[in-house]
Amino acid sequence: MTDHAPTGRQLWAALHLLDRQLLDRDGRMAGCVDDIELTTTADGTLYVSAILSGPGVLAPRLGAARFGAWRRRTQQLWANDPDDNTNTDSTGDARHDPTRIPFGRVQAIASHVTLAADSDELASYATERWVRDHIISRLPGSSHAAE
Amino acid sequence: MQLSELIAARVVDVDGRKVGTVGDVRLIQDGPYLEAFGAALRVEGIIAGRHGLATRLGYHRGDVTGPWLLRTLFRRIEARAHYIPWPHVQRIDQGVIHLNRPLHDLDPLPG
Repeated sequence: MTDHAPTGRQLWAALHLLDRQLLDRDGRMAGCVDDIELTTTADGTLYVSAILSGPGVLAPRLGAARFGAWRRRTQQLWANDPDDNTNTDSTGDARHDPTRIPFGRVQAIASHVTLAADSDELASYATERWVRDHIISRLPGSSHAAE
Repeated sequence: MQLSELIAARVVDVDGRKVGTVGDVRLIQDGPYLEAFGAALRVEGIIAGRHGLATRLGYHRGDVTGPWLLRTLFRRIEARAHYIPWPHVQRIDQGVIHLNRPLHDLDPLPG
């Protein structure tokens, strides 16, 4: 079938990765694998370099590429808002694509994908985070809602 | 490049003959070391042909052992699908994957 017998673990990208649930390092749900970024090296080999998850990423797969590009752009502008320091990544870099999760932060792939990251850092969690910070936290009694 | 640009892309052979569409992409974990994950996933090849339910359910994989009736049925349906190692891809141009060899030189599905 191939010129050489592969020695590593084998996966099918669409079957084993696409649309899988993402879990953060604490086991909290953190969105789904909406797409996968592939990067070509100088010798032409293609590697999986990142998981893409969050607003606008799924749209091209549903035939709405222009909407998806617009939504990702607005999300990126929002994430890079200098007045909003809740969206910086773990390195403190405020200028990043929040929908992109480098594959080095993937811990395991099983029936779900476990990340070595907190859901708070991810774009897929942005809407929930915004609702928590701007609406829920302002409700009377919200400070002890979980008690 | 994103995976969604490969999935469902049309595939043509070196003579411009239609091979089919991409159903799935085979990955092998033997690339450079990544911090939390270990070896990176390398794109080893693609499945191209007439796809449908069988591919979506994973019956194109050689390690599926049952149910035997479904497996036999889907294998017949997928008989015209091909496995294309990534080095056989010459270029990707506007959603069309061009191969560097003719259709009759392509391998059948693994398994």
